[in-house]
Order: sequence, then C-alpha cells, then structure tokens
Amino acid sequence: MMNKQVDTYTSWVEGQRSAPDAVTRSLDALYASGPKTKDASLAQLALQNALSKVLAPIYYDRLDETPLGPVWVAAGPRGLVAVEYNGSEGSFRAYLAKLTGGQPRRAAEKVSGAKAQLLAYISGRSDHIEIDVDLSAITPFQRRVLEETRKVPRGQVSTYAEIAKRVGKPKAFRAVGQALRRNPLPIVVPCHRVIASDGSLGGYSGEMRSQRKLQLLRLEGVALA
Amino acid sequence: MTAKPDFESLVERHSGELFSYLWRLLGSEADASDCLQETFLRAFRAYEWVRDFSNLRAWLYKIATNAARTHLSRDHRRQSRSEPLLEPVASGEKAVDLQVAERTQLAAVKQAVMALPERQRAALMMRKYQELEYAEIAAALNCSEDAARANVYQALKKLRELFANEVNDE
Repeated sequence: MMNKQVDTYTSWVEGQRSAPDAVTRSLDALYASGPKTKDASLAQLALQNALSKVLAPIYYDRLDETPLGPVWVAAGPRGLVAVEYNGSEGSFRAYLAKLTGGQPRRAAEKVSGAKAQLLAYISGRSDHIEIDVDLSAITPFQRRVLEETRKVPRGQVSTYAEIAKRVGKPKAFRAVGQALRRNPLPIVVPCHRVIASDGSLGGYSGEMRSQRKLQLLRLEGVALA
Repeated sequence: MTAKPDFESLVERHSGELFSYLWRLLGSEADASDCLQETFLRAFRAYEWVRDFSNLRAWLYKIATNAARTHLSRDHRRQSRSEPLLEPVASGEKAVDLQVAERTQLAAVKQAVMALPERQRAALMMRKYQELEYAEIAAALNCSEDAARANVYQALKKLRELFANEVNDE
C-alpha cells in the first residue's frame, strides 16, 4: 500500500518543479530564498565567536631533567596556561582539555622559550621569569589571588592572611589557600612563596609538594626555621 | 582511505547551508543562530570519535536536526518567536487587499509547516530546499530511504489537505 502511494507522491513532488500548485508556491514564497544575507553573516560571526574558544590550539611539551623532575608546560595564544610536575602525557592532556576547553597539541618548538626560562630558573642560572601568562581559565577571585601572589618578590615570603588582605577579603585565607593549591602555573606564579602565618608551609599538600616548595624556596635563598 | 578533514574545514563548508536549514526548521533567525552554534559545538565534541568520513554532510544535518528538536522542546511553552516574514505592504505594485490576502495565506501555511511533526518538516526541508538526496536524508534522520520518502510525502499531503481547497488555483 504505502510504497505505491509514496511513489505517486514522489513523482508529484518532482512534477511540482515544472508546474507548481498553490501549496508549492506558498512554500517557495516562504522558504525558497532562505534567510536574509545580513542575518546569515551575523550568525556566522556568532558561530566563529563561540567556536574560537574550543578551537584555540594549546601547545605543550615536557621539560625533562630538571632538579625538580620532569615538568610539563602548556601555552595558548595569550600566554602560558599550565605547568605541571611529573605525571603522564595523557593526564596532562586531560587536565588541559578540562582547564581550557581547547585542543592540546604536543609541539616542543611552540613552548621552547618557556621551557628554557623555566629550566634556567629552576637550575638557579636565572633569577627571574618573564613570560606572559593566561589566567582566563580560572575564577576571578582565584585570578586576583594569583596576581597578588605574583607580586611577592623572589627571596621573600608572604602569608595566606596577607594575600587575603591584599585581595580585599581578609577573612578568606582558607579560600586563598585553596586558590593557591589550584594554581595552574606553579613556579611562574610563585605560590611557593606563600606560607602560613605560623611559619609552617601550609598548602602544597602532600609530601612531594612540600618538598618542592622547600626546594624552590631554598633555590631563592629563603631559609625557613 | 581519505584523510579526516579538519574541523575548521567542516565549519567553512557547511555552516552556511546548516544556518539556512535551521532557519527553515525553526522559522526564526535568532533561534537558527543559537542552534547553529549548538550544532557545531556538539559536532566538535563528537568529531574525535567519528571514523567514517564518507558522509559528514549528512552527519552534520543529523546533529542540526537534533539540536533543533532540543531547542523546540525547551521552547514549547513559550510562544514561537515567529518573525514577520514579509516586507510592509507596498502601494502601487499590487492591490493592497490582494497583498493582505496573500500574506494571510502565507502566515497560515507557515503555521501549518511549524505544526508538522518534526521529522516530516525536517525531511521536507532537506528534500525541497537543502537539496539532499534521500540516502542523505535517511542518514540524517536515522531511518530507511523509504521512510525518508514517506516523511516528505506525509508532510506535503498534510499541507495539501489543509490548503488545496482554500487557495484559488488560477
């Protein structure tokens, strides 16, 4: 039953091309020419805008043989986005995808400058790091915390309470601690220079991380009692 | 075996026709624009897993059709954002009352099209205005070619039933 009627109508559909009936004429009047060009252009722009974030290439590579062990480094179009100690390539890629929403691609030459600076700094051959950082992936509060932390000079330390005061939330030292624990750019953003008011290391949970914190501070000539 | 095209080239090749398609499905430029973004964001997330690149066009139409359905189901309590289709009545070209009659007719047809079951409307637009082959429509709707033809047939049959008697065939 169905197929015969369908065939009849299919040929009717095709027949409409040469002799359209009223319904076909109405449909064509409504739909044939499509949306206005200016609307199509606007839609394209909006699409490009929405896609630019997910399509942004994030380049990464691993810095081997540093005094702190292997260090992964990743940069986007606006600057360095992540530094991570150790870990597998897979887990770093997953972390990057989650952090940036972009497409991570391994490309040593794209991060060679950052790698060289980091290696020089960690090895003690240089005492500063001049790299653009891209902190857009984190919350505004976390960004303010990290920006204030960046102001702590090498060779000095600050406290969670002090950073909390500087970002205008003097009671939020625990949130400051959390923001620093989530720092996507250790070493470059010197969260290792922030300690608890009682002089203990505070944050940097875990023995490994405490060791790194001490190592970095020692490197910078800071001796904690 | 052909290489997998990079995602940007898919956007370049198909975003225009998909916008037109979504405009025809949804009846509104604003909704079509939102859905176009949703379509390509979904496509982007799924693209990593695509293994068969022989018909990416139909794959994109499938995603667009689903995105439109999601959009409409979210919108079902709101009034459809149907925008005025037509230019203001222009004096001189045709008698004003004839223009008004035509406009009323078109509005009625549009309303009937929007009231069609989604698959039928989708199949109709893909066939009549997006120029997809029935094989591609079948892939986009995840059905057989016969079912794709049947969807187009049902849509036109419905519209003809509603309007064949009311409209003056000159």
